[in-house]
Amino acid sequence: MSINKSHKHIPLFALALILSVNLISGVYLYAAEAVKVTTRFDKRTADVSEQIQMEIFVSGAASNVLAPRLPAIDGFDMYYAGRRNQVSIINGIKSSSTTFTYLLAPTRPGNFTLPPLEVQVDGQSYQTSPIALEITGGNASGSSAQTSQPQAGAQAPTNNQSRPSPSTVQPGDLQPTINNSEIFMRLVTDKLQAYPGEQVMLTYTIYTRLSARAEQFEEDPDLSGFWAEEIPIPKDNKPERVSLEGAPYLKADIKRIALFPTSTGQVKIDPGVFRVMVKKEARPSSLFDEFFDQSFFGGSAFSQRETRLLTAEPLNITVRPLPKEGQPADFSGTVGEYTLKSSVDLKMVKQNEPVQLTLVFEGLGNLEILEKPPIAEIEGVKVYDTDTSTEIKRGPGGISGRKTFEITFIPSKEGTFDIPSMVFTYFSPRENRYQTIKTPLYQIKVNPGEKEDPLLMLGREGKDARKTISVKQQDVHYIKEGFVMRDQALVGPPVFRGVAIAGALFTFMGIGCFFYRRRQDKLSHDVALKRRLYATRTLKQHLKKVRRLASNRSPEGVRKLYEEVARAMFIYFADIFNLSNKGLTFRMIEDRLSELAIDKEMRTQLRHLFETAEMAQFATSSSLPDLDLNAHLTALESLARILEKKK
Amino acid sequence: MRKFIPAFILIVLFFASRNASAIDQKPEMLQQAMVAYGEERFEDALNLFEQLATAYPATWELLYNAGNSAYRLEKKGKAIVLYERALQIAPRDKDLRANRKLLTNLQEYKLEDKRNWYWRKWREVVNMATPHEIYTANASLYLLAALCWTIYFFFSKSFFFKLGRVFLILFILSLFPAGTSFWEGKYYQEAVVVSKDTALKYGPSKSEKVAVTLPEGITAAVKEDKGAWYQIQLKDGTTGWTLHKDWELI
Repeated sequence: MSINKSHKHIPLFALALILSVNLISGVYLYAAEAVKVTTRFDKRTADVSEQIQMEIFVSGAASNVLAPRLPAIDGFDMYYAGRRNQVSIINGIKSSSTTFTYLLAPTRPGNFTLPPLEVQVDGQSYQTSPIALEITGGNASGSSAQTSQPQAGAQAPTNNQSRPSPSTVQPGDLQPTINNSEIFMRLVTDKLQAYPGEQVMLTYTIYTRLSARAEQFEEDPDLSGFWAEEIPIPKDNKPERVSLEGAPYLKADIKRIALFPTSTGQVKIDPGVFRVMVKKEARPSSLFDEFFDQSFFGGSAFSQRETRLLTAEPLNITVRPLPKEGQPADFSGTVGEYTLKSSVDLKMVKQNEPVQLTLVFEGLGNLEILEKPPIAEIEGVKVYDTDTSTEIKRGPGGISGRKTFEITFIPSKEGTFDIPSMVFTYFSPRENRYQTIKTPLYQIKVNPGEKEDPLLMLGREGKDARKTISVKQQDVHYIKEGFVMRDQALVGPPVFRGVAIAGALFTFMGIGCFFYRRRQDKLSHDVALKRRLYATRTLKQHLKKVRRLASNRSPEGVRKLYEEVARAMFIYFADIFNLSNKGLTFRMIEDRLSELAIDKEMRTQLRHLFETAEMAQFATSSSLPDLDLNAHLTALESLARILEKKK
Repeated sequence: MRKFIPAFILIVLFFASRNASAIDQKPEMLQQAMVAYGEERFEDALNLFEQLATAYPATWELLYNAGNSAYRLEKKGKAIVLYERALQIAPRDKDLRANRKLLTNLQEYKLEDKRNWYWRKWREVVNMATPHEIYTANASLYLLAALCWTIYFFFSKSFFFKLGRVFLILFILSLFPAGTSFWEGKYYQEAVVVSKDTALKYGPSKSEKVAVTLPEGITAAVKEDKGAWYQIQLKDGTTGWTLHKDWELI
């Protein structure tokens, strides 16, 4: 009955459990950090020839961060240099950060205040604080060397706003000229046919025979149908002397843009209108005088000048569709030239410990839109995208750089698992075919480990949580409870002292045993020595017995007494002189004693004891000898001591 | 044999009473510390745990709990000191090691450790045991060698001679960690920055120029103690002088 009752409650408990888990995970997920937008600079003071790196750092639980649209900033050219996303869910608390990197190239010295920059995060607008920057060095005249204009339609986060001109002459109703023989502008592309996503380098070049100074775009180029990224012109870019149809000209590139077509068909590039200032004075007597008098980029701000507006013929780019033939089913849509490197940080982990796979794409092309290849599901392994970062380089060859993806795998079972090969297919305009690059298969060994921390796992299951994950410990482990208070360590000085003393004792014992063993060995090899060494001890034992027997004055007792005396003497002298007991006579003993120079009186006393002892063994009860046994035994002991010394 | 039994009982009772008195002496204070921690009165908890740790120097759990309290108070330098002291008593405790590692990871200012890699690894190995554990293991190996050879000399069994030789080799090898541990205890002193920004100066004077400003939690070796100044050496080899008040010895 009770079992049935408990069964009834199972769904209820399960429901409660699920609700609790969801509630807790929800709480943890929403216990996210508030969104913060801040700017960081690698330096606040720079020379006019240096670049300043600016990072716009967006932190918090934001998932949708749009690249900031930056206003034109007086005194600086601004270039987008990449973005980096990092999201982590730790102990159920989600936090994310996105960093946009820009390079600020100062155009003139002075003190500047960077206005608040606006960033859209999850549909809400956030602003940074104004930042003061100091630019030193160079000519403080404020003349603009060259201009750089952001591009319409580009996600590159610079904006198209005209800046104040240092010129004293306003353009007014001037008409742009195309084919003026004294000064004109040309648009050049490195190719007129391209595939969608293929990089096309567009260069604006001015040819002049006048003393001129480049200003800025009066009318922005129309680059609809392209993703555009501006390439900075080096500051030390010098005009070249060229000859066109026999006439000498100064030629200078004023703008370079990397274009990535976004659609197919004929796409027209409207060049816009560029403003230059030319000198009003009479022309120098020779062209070479002019070259040395004024450079194209370095004209004096105080010269009397007039404004000219330049434009060029529009350019048409034919954007061909990507070939259908040979297009793999898993084509990523990326066009360019790429290499792929991959690595894993560990090949052996414990259960629930992360393995990080790093994919690094490098090459020429629009890395901003490059997507990570798909990962096949792995049984018993949770997969999380962690960091993504893009580093963009802008060089004469266009946009190149590196995009890094970090993917975390967390195995829940012990054993081994494979990180499958990841395939990336792109279209190579250089080769005019589809190229496939892949990562190797990585086999990871998983050793048994600790159980998963449930708190750590909460929040990983949500869709947003799949964005990135960090399993680094973020909080201290719990305090200790229920422990025994000790004022002395378990293995402390007393234990050490005890063991050390025992060691010392055993050392002494060992030394003793060593000498004992040596003596035993020696004796086992020298029987005569052994007999001699033990002779006195044996004699003493016999004499002890003799003295005990001496108390019995019965004839039988007296006989036994002398028997014992005779045995004691024979055994003793046999041992001392290393002789056999059998056939030993007192004569033989006496000879040996004489050799050892034992005095005669002692030998006589000993002979008397021998004879008495021998006679007593065979005497009748009436004829038992009457002997001062004690005196004789003492004499025997004295002799033994003498012999001991003589050994 | 029977006459030893009362003596044995007396010894057991003596040690039992010592332990019992140690357990029962300050239970209230421990209770208060636990309650203070639970109620997030971390300052009170830290003080109480520290007082108890002074009374029971072998109870590393008190230092651990004090370290947690200091961490909650965002006194990262103090927490590191307490964890390090606890690690000297219980160097293999997982929680303790994890918390100490966490504090290292949380440090924004990372110093490149320019000490020899083999010396660092060796110290890591040696620091897996307390000095007394190492000394006791060392003495035990010697004892075993002596015991084996005593048996060998007495009973003349060659097996014990060979076994004694193995123990002797192990004993000789164990002299290296024991020597390192002894050297560290005698001549090596580490300290931790416990102030927010600590100036490391070129000389032991307030008028000296600041070489580096160190954040809280940086660990360094103390080379010399001169008046109110320590000469310290950072892991990257930088040396400088700094005031006592900004540091706490481990």
